[in-house]
Parts: sequence; structure tokens; C-alpha cells
Amino acid sequence: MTEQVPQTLRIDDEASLPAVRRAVDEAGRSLGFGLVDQTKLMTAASELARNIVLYAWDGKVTIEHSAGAGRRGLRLTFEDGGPGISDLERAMQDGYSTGKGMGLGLPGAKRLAHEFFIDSKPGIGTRVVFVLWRR
Amino acid sequence: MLDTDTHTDTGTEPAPALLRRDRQETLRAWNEYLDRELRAPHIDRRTVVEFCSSLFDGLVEALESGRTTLSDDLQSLLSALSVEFAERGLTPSQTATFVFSLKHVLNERYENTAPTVVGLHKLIDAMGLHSMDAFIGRREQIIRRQSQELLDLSVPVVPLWEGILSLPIIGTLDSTRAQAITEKLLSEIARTGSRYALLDISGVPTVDTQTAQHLAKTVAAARLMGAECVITGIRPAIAQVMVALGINLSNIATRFSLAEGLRYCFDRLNLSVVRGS
Repeated sequence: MTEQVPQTLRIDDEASLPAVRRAVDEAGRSLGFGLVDQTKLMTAASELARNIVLYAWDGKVTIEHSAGAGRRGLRLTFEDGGPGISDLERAMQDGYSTGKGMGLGLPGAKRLAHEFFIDSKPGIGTRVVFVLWRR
Repeated sequence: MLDTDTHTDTGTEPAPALLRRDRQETLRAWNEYLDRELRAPHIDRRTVVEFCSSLFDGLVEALESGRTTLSDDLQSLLSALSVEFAERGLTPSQTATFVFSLKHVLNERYENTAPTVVGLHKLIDAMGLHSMDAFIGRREQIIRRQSQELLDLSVPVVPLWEGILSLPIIGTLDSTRAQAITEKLLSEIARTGSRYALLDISGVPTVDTQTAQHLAKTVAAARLMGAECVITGIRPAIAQVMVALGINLSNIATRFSLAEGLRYCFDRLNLSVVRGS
């Protein structure tokens, strides 16, 4: 069973994570990503979706194909209406966490990506875009 | 002429008596209707016939006693029916159809001369709703039991050698499972007095920061009890991604395969494997 891409999934508790991982896994497979890239995609999706569960409680991810400059890839957009990140620069540093995590989620996910954008407004929410190109 | 007190059209014959008189025919009509409409091959016909007659009798009794709520007997009968249906994989709408179809059968049979007792309809509605509640309750019970079984199943601690435990972790390591795994491992360490435990993560699809944190906590707890953990089954792709994420497990012994992990434990226990001559 292959789901349609683009696809949007709701993220509202830890139980939504397996569904997100599965959808990303399928979408990545259909683009023909290799094993390492596939693991990167799923790990990043897991990381960013968990951030929503931990800090914003409710949000969504949109999984879509991305094309440009003769290459194809997968774009994951995570959006939430949570409290936002007041100090984005610190949040992107290794080991900084306002919660009980290792503080590696955001900077780690950025290192896994080919393109990574984050936009956050305190009190309004956070939007993270993760792109991995096929090599 | 309007007669608001008497609900039966004949006026002389009360509804329960009328229903009792036509019992056989109504039941036959109901069974035929269900044969056509229910389409439930997983439930045998005799069970259906039995439920039909018990429900019908229960309904007539309730009407006779003038009750508008369901008696305990009727409730437990409906619960039994719903449990049976839920376990046999029938849908909620099939269960509801079963009960509500009695209304249809009665309407058809007494079309113009219907014993249109308001109480009758109320009772059948209450029966339908009760069977729905019981059906969903049973399903929830099944789901709860299965997730508990899954949790138990997913924490196998296997003694591999005297003093060496192995714990193959398969699937996602979320907080609930990490907790279950830690508890099981610690109690097995205490029970067997093992000094080494091999945590094999070959079956874990991704190791993200939370998974790594859970693993590190499990290892730390085991260490407090005097047991050393070795994490095995770290696949090449996962190793690369863990490094990219910045996860540092350098204070924990790790090996590529379970066999390598076992060899490590043998070395530490000063055991050697010798080929027989």
C-alpha cells in the first residue's frame, strides 16, 4: 500500500511517531534512497516529530517530493502552534535543551539534512523544513 | 376516534400477549431477515437463533412488567451477544443491526395493526445502545490485553551463558518500552546474579537521541547493580547516523554483532572457546 505524496500527518502524542516514521520510510523508498539516507530520514523525522510532542503537544508534518537543479529529494515540513523557541541560536547548539533531552535533536537533525530551515515565533509556533536530496 | 391510553390497535389485546401469540412466526421472520441482512459467516446460525429467541423473550417480559429500563438479565444477555460478536470480528454496525432489526421485523409484521407501544421502541433502542456499549467495551478490553501482551512479548531476557544475559530489542524503543525493558533487565540481573548483559539493537529501525538516552539510562541502572552492558547489533547505517546526530556512547562497550559481544564477555570472564581436537 503506497500512500499519496504529498501527505500530511497529525502529530499529537508519542503514538503518532511510528506512523510518521512509516510514512517517511515509504516516501523515501519510493524515491529510491539508499540505506544510510533512509535511516537519516527516519531518524530526523523521529527527532523533529518528537520535539512537537514534547514541546508543542500538537502539530503536523507534510511529506512531499522536492525537485530542483536536476535532482530529486524529499521535503519534510514540521509545523506546530506551540510556545515557540525564544532563543533559536542556542536551541541550534549541541547540548542545549529546555527539557530533559540530550539537546541534540535540532542540531543533530540539521546535520542529517542537506537543507534545513527553522522559523519560530514565541507564542505562535515553530516551522522546521528538512530536505534530503537523492545522491 | 383518538384513544391515547390504549396503545394497541385492537384495544382489547395488550401488546405483550399479542407478541407472545405470534412468537414463532416473528422469530422465523427475524431469523430470515438476519440471514439476508447480517452477512456474518463467522457466526453460526444456531447461535443467532438462540440469541434471537432469548432477546425476544426478554423484551416481552420487560413489556409485561411495564419497565422501561433493561433488567440485569437482559443486560447480561446483550453483553454476552456483543462479546461474542466482537470476538468473532463482526463490525459494530452488524451488532447494532442485529438488535435494531427486530424493530423492522415487528413493523413489517404489524404494519397497520401494530402494537405501537412507545415502551417497545424505547426498549429496543435501549437494547441496541447497551449492545453497542458492551461491544466497544469488549473491543477496548481486547486492545488493552493485546498491547500488554505485546509489551511482555517485546521484553525477552534470555540467559546466554552462566552470568551473561541477552536482551534482543526489536522495534521502536519508546519511553514505555524502555521502562519495561529496564525493569525486566534489572530484575533478571538480580535473579540470576549475572555480571554481563548484551543489549542487541539489530531489530531497532532507528536510533534517535531519545532511544540513545533510554539505552544509556538502562546501562547506567544495570551498572549500579554491578552488571556491565554491551550494546550489540549497531548496523553501519545506524552508526553513521548516530555520529551525525552527535550521540556519544563512548563510555559504553559496543560491538557490531551479538557474537562479538559474547566474545567480549567471555574475555572479561576469562573464558575461552577452544576447538575440540
